[in-house]
Amino acid sequence: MKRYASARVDHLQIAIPAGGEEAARAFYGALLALREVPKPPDLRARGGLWFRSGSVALHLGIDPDFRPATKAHVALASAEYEALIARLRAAAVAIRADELPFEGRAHCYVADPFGNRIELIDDAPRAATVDKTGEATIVAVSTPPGHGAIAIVRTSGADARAIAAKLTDGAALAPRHATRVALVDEAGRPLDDALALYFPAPHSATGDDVVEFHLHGSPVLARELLRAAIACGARQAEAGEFTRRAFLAGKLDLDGVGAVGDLIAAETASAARAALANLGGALQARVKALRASLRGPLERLAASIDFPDEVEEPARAPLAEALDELQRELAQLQRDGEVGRLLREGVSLAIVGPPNAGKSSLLNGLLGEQRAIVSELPGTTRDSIEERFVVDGVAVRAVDTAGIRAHADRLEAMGIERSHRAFESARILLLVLDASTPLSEQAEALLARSEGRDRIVFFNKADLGTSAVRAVAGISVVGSTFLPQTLDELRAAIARVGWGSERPDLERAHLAFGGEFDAIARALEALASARSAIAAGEPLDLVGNDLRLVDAALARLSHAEASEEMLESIFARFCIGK
Amino acid sequence: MEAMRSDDAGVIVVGGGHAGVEAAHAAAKIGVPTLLLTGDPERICTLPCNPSIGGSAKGQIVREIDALGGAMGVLADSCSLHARFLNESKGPAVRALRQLMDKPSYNRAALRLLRSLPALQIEAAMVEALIVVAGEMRGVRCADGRAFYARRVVLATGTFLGGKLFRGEDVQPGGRHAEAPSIGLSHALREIGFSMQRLKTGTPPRVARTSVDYAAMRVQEPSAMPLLFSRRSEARFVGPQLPCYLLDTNERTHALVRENLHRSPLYGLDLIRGIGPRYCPSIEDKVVKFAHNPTHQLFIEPEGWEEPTLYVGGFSTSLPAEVQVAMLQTLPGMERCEMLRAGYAVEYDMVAPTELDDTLQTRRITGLYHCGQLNGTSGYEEAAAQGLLAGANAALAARGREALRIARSEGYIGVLVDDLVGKGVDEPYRMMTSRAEHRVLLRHDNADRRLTPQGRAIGLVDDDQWTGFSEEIALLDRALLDVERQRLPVREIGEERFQGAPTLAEALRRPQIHIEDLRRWLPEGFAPELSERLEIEIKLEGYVKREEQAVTQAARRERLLIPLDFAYDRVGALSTEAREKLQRQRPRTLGAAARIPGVAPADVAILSLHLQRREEPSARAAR
Repeated sequence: MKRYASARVDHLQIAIPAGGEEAARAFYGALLALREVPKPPDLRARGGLWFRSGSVALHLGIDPDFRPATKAHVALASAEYEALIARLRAAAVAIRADELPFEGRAHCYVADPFGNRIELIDDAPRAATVDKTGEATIVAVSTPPGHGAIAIVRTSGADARAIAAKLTDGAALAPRHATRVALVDEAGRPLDDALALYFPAPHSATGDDVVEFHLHGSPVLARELLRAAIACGARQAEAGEFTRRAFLAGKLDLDGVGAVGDLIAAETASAARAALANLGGALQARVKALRASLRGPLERLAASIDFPDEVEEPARAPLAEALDELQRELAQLQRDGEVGRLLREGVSLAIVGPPNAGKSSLLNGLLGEQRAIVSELPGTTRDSIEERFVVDGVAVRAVDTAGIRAHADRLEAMGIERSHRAFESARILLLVLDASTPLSEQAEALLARSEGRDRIVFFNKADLGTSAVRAVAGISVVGSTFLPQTLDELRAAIARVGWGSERPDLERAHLAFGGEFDAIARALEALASARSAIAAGEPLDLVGNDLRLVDAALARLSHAEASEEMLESIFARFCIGK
Repeated sequence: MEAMRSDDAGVIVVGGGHAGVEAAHAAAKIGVPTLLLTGDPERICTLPCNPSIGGSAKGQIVREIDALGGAMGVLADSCSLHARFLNESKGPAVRALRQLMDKPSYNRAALRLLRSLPALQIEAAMVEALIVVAGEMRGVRCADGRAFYARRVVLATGTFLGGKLFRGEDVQPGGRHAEAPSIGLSHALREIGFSMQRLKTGTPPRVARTSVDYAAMRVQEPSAMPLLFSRRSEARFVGPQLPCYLLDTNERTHALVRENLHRSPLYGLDLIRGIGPRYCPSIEDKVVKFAHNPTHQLFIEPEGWEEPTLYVGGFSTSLPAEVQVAMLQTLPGMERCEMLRAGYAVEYDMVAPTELDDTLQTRRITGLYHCGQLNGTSGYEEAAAQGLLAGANAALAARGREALRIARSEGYIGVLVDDLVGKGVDEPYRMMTSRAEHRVLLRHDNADRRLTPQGRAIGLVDDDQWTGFSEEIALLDRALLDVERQRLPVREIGEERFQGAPTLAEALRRPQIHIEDLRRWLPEGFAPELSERLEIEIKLEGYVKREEQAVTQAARRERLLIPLDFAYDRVGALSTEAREKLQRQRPRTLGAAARIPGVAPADVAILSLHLQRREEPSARAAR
């Protein structure tokens, strides 16, 4: 809300020593190019000079007890900042630059001939003035999906630095330098050894604070980091959102814009196609049904406000019931969304076990092709490798972890750490043990650690002996990786543990994109707010306000415009008008 | 540029309805010489349809007009014979004032106000043609051959363009009851190339006050306290306050409608082509489209203290006069009523408002402004709001000053203009609260905070209004601080119990606590008339903050301007539909572009990327 000052600033006064007029005139008049105005005759006797710039006057007054003002200062904003700096440099005036911009503008400090501090601010008009408040911090994987040498995850926004601090366990990031950091997730669990680059606003691609993470090129890691960043408060970026922000901040190199624009269109189109193919319109139909159930209360409310003499206000109790029902439906949609995510992204499976138990051979068997390097030498698999294979139409993302050993060289340590990470985060654990020799200490430890998780214990190398086989909690399979029937048994076990063997229904409505999950979450939040407003006895318009947010969020899902549609329907249902 | 003629009037306003009067008032108050041309100066602002001003969303518009320094609020307050707050229990943001007018007083008050403006001259004239030179406005020509010259012309012609009145088989050219239409001007606009549409509206019959029996009707009492639109008005009743009455139609009424549908110009005769408003259907429409409703509610409203007529709200019809009498006489308490004037339907031409920019100036002719029903709106308040904007902008343009623009988050007037110029209309447009996405901000109580500084900046708010506003806001802000600081000295009020010692503001945020409950702890000397404002600001604070955040988020887009010559055809990635719509409507900002139906989020992103390349595509296009 606006407040109004009762007084305006008329002038600012700077003290100069007696006899300093000529030096002041040279500095303020010639160098800073301020316009000198004559002092009124009755004040002239006191000495000093008056300057004026726009509506503010700058008075230089003689102080017999002069001491330079080194903290208190006048700041001058100039549209010809660069030229001004050049002039000062030419006149050998010392310029103290300040790297931190002032409200997004370059600025620096100089001293007048008497040592008074003067601040200069770049006031050149900028291409687009943007308001930075209220914009969420966004995050996205900015390298293409699939296996590359590195994966880059970028975050942009006011909280980018704070989020980076959490994800790097508080590592100090020097602006515009690559810093080696140990990435952790929101709970402090290690993720990867990575590089972080911090670009402070406004000198970044988007004009906001930007932090980039360069990690090892694993889609699993990138996704984990994305999830962790979201858990720390970022929002998943929408298609083209980084580019949009960059443009709005006047940051984009415009030669490339056309290409980027086309890319966005293509991305959106393929996303739309994917959604359509994936869902067969089921999500649209479901959202439509949800909006229809909201429409009743919303319309009655709107109609009772716009036509108070003709349409009665809706009663609270049935309204509350309708909202509860809607809340249940939305929550169900959200849960189904998780199933949808499983269908799209697959289920994660970590293959763990002591060295040389046959983990890589198992993965190769399941893949049906040679993928990982298999060697008799323990510790050959130095890195976690993600592979996909399909069981009953569901993608299984299998991570073959490096053998977990007590002694490992430095190079291998990182791989082992990541194995632990995969062990912790996988949906299903496939524990590979050597059936032919007594279980090692490590194998026992793994058995104990995986107790209570969704796991499959596979006693491998049964052709060589079964002395280690025993009854364990959960599903166990005894066999050998080169036997087709063993692989079939393992596939069946994965299906049973992963999705209860029952093949997921691909025809059901699922949320497909991050934006859709966002929209549902927002709808649920507004719905909860509406519910508590009803319970607290708030006026119905305020309830209506929340309901409009619910509807707007759902409209985002169905890509329709909320308000026009609603008016259409009001007119169709109520007989209104005098 | 041609030298200005010595007889240039500054601003010419054509039409003396609510839009025209508000336009002439604004232009002249800003100080630009203004000429108001209307068929009969004695008949300005006659309120030809219902006698009410305000209502849901419209009441907020009247407060906004008043906050900007416009006329409607003050005029209405000086003629009010019945006032009531609507939606009182439904929430502060939708609370709205509605008054009924003494129609003769309104007409006289409007005339008096206009005649008090030294810069304004009023002439009787029927404008038939526009004088345009090289795409610029130069003046207007009248039916009697006279010409008036000005570089800014505001058209506020209401339903008069190509107007046609319908009552049964009887079809007459006319702008409204007993007044001739304007045929030439409609033709002139078509010749310029404006896209025209045809709309329909109507008015119900009037019955003699002495011929009805109120005992058979439900009474609706006016407020016992004077309720006003304008802070500039004195808080007192200007005359006796009269009740309204409610009654219902019945099966006999509906039977008569059905039996006579073949004589309806809308149905059986099929004479009317224009599209009518859904929110103000004729009784024929109600009976046909809502056949399952056994009754429809009607409103009996006086049209003045001394007027012999009663307005039969909800009974708009174009059936033949004798059928109307028979229908009226089926109503309870109206069995022996005398019909003084029959209802009728009117069909008229309008110019698509997508022809306008957001200052209500046409894109085709520099200096030509359109407002009111000409733009496809209905309602006195909607017309007046556009009149104010068009008149003020014509005057500001004459002075070479920046135009007045109101954002969707600043006022219903902003929503109105943005909807009109961005989306166009396909039926008469009426303002409703559900059209405003930021309505928590657009309340009747804070219209002055939202708009008076803007009204002051353009010279429409005079010293008295400005001083009154500044004092009131200072008082209110001080009180807001006080209630945030001061603690409640008791532990319970009514049913509500408190833990600890909440501040007055914290207590007030409880839905069941009202400012009256805290009255004795409020600072001494706090003006009671401000307590409603105080309560609303405190209670809505959370909702307002959330909304303001949403506005800030949208602001980036709202501030990104699209050049008028932007070459959409050079942007290959836009969808065909989006390109066509953008090319046709030429939105001023990226935000306005995003609101055009058919422009998808992907199109908006692409557009925003291309915007700064404007020189390049348009230069290439020119080659």
